[in-house]
Amino acid sequence: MDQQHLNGLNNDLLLDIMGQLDDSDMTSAGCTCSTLLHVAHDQSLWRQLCHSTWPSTALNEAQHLLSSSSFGGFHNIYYKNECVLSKVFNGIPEAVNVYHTDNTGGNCDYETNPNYHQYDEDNSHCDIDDNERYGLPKTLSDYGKLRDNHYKELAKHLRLSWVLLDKKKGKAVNLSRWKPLLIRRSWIYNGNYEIHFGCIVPVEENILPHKLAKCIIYSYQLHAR
Amino acid sequence: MSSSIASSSSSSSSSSKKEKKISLKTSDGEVFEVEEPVAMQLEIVRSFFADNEDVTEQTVMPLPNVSTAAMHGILEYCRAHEEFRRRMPEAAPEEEVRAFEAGYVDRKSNEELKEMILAANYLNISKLLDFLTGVAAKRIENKSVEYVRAFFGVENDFTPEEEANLRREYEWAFEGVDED
Repeated sequence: MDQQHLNGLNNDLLLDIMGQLDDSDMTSAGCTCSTLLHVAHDQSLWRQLCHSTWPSTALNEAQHLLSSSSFGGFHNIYYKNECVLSKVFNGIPEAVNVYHTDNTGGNCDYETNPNYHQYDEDNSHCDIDDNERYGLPKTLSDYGKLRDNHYKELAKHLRLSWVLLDKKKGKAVNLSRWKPLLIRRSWIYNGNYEIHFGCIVPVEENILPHKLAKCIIYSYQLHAR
Repeated sequence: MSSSIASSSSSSSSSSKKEKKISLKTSDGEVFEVEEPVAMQLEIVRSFFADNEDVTEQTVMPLPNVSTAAMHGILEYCRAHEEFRRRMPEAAPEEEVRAFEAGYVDRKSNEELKEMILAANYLNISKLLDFLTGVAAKRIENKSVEYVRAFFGVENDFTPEEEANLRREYEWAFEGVDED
C-alpha cells in the first residue's frame, strides 16, 4: 500500500533522495507518514550526516565503537552529540586544548594537524605561562628532585579538552575526561612528559587498543616562556 | 543553450546513418531506434547485449517498466551527455552540462520527475539517477510537511497523538520552512 502511495518509489530510491537532504529536511520528511519516518531513521543516512558534521566519526576506530549498541545508532549520536574519539597521535580533525586549571590567560593550545602522526616542534606549540607556579621544572636536571611533586601537580592542574566542533551549527562537544589518566616521563622523547587522557566514550583497551588520547608536552617548549 | 544542445544531438543522430542502432520497446509498445553509444548508457541494455550472445542487431529489447514519455526524457538526457562526451572526451564542459541539466529538469513536473526516477532506476543509469534524486531532494528542501506529503503523494497515516509527538520532538526541524 505504501509502495503505491509513493508512486512506486522504493526504499532504496527514497534513501537516495533523503540522503541528499540536511538534518532538518530529513526529519521533517519523516513526519509525513510512517513509511518516510522509517526511511528517515535509517542509520546509513545519519552515519553520513555524522561523518559530514563530525569528521572524526568516520575514523575506523570510531566506527567500530559507534556501532556498538550502547550508543543506540547514529541517529541518537547525532541528536545527543555523543561523539566520538580519535587518537591525538593520529591527529583529530577538530581541536585539542590542553590547559591548566585555575590559570588566568595561561591557556595552552595544542594544535593538531590530521596529516601528522606525531607532534614535533614544527606542528605543535605549547605555552604555559608561569611554569613555576605549577611546579613545572625549569630544566631537565630539576626532574629528579621534583618528579613526584610534578606528577601530582600536573595531574592536578593539567586538563585536556578534546573538542569536536559542529561547524554547521557552531556547537562543540567535549570528549575528554579532562583529567589525565597517566603521567610519565618519556625517555624516548628526551624526558618530556607523556600524558594520557581518557575519552568520555567508554573504551575497553583489550578490545580497542590506542584509544587514549596521548599528548606529549615538550619540556623545552615549556621553558621557552 | 540547453535547447540548442538537445536539437544538435538529435540532428547528429539522424545524420549518421551508418551508426549502429539498438531497438528498445517501451511498455506501451513504441520502438525506439537508439544509437548504440547512447543505448549503452542504459546499464540494463549494456548487460543484456553483453550477456546474451544470441542477440543480433535485429533484436528488439523490451523494456516493460518504461513508458514512452519517460523514454523520451531518458534519451534526451543520454543523447545530450553522449554529445558532450563526443565533443570533449577528456573532461565534460561542466558549465554547459549544468546549464543543460537545469533547463532539462525545469520542464519536468513532479510527476514526470518521479516517473523518470523510476525509469532511470530500472534502466540502471546511475548518473541520471543521482542527478534526478538530487533534483527531487532540492524540491522538498525547506518545505512544509504538507508539501512533502503532496510531493510524494503520501497520506498522513499517523494518529493525532503520534503526529503531535513527532512535531514536539522535532520542533526545531520545522523552523523557517516555505509553506508553498
